[in-house]
Amino acid sequence: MASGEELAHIVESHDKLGTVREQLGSYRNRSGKLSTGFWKVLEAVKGAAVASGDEDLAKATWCLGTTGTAQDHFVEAMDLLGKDQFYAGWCELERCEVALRALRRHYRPPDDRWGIRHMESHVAHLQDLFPYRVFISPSYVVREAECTICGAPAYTIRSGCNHRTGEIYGGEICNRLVTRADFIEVSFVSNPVQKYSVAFPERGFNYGGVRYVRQGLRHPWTAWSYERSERETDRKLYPSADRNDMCPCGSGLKYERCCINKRATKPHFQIIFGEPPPAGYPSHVDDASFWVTDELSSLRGKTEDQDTA
Amino acid sequence: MGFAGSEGPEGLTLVRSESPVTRASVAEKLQSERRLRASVVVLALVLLPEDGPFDSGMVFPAGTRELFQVMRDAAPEGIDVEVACSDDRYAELTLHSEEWRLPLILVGDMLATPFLLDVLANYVYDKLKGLLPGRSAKVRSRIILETAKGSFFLEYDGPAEDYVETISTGIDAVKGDIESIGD
Repeated sequence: MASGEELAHIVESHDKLGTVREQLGSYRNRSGKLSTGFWKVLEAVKGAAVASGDEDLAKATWCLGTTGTAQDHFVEAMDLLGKDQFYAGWCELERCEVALRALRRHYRPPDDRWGIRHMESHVAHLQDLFPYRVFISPSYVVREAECTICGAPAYTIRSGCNHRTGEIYGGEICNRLVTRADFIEVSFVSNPVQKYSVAFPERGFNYGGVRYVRQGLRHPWTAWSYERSERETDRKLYPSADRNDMCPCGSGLKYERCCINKRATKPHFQIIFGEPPPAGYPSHVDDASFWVTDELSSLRGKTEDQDTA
Repeated sequence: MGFAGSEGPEGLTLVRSESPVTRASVAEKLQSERRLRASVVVLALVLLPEDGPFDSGMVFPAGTRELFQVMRDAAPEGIDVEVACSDDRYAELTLHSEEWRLPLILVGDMLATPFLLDVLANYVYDKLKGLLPGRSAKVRSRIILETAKGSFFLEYDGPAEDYVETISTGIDAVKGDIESIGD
């Protein structure tokens, strides 16, 4: 098996993968997903590599294919977010992240020639802007599973195959296919293993931040970043407290001697676009006038300058 | 001893002679598994099951088989590794949050600790490689060190990046304590 450096050399310079690399490298000029021709070439090279026992070339095709998968999910996510399909876009971002995480264990490019670094940072940025904070996550006791490479029982300790999850064999990643499990319970968690199972409140979510960013991008691959801070509001921090009450902060002091002058804060995001957003784009939007749920499609904001918010 | 009862490295708890699990208690649960029972009593490193939630039986954290494969393949001569469970009873508990739970590890020979630290370092490093930039993960791990001078229990619940160094500090503290106890 090739070392990381040797694998990188095959991925980046093997002559049979030239057209594949070229198509991956054209991501900024593409508005949609990769063509079927890309996947056909990749499958043909992988098939030949597996047939000749060239595990390293087969693994290189997996690396490039996973890069293409991540690109496609990223483009799809940006497309869905541009159509206000926020949850569907969120799921595509998660699929993109899953592909990127699998890839990072085996290959990291020396530069951003295929948009990998862009996706790694911007998927995380977008996830941070989403209002999803609580997830419904199940737990299981897995009794039986199969290896996806050879089909051998994967939950026997002293027998079964030696394939390892996450490794690449014949150009395919090894996983466990659970065939028998006992459902135990579901929990509400903030850091789920998978991010699909969002807990949706009845009143809906405010997707204003995500929408503001997506509509401000001229292209799915336009770079952007943000800075988050807390800003004081006009509202009292503890509006229902009486001045003679004990302070709700738990200090043990009377409210009038403790937090009476404190004001509530709200998060403030400053978005820095890599290239100017479309003409007429609002430079500032406020929560109250920018409540956007899955059902509400109109953008409401104050039109001021056009470069930052 | 060491830092038991006082402030130690963040995320680490070190307790002497208060391990909730011992070789004897594990061996007792393996009454019907004679060969395994014998292994638990003599081997250097044993991965132990724990009681699963809601009467789900004895379970190991997700990924235990993978860790066992790595340990078994890398173990030098004289360091034997075993899982205290028969094949047909083996089950893994898959929990929900993004935390890496390692199986309860019983160390019966302090000479095995450098190997154990190497394996755990590689295992966690390999997982860390898959994290996106700016993201972090937590590790939960419990290790029992059984020595002639007593039983020591290391529990770690903290950032994955600090895991191996912190556990290593804990093991060093145990070694120092063993020397100070004398014969």
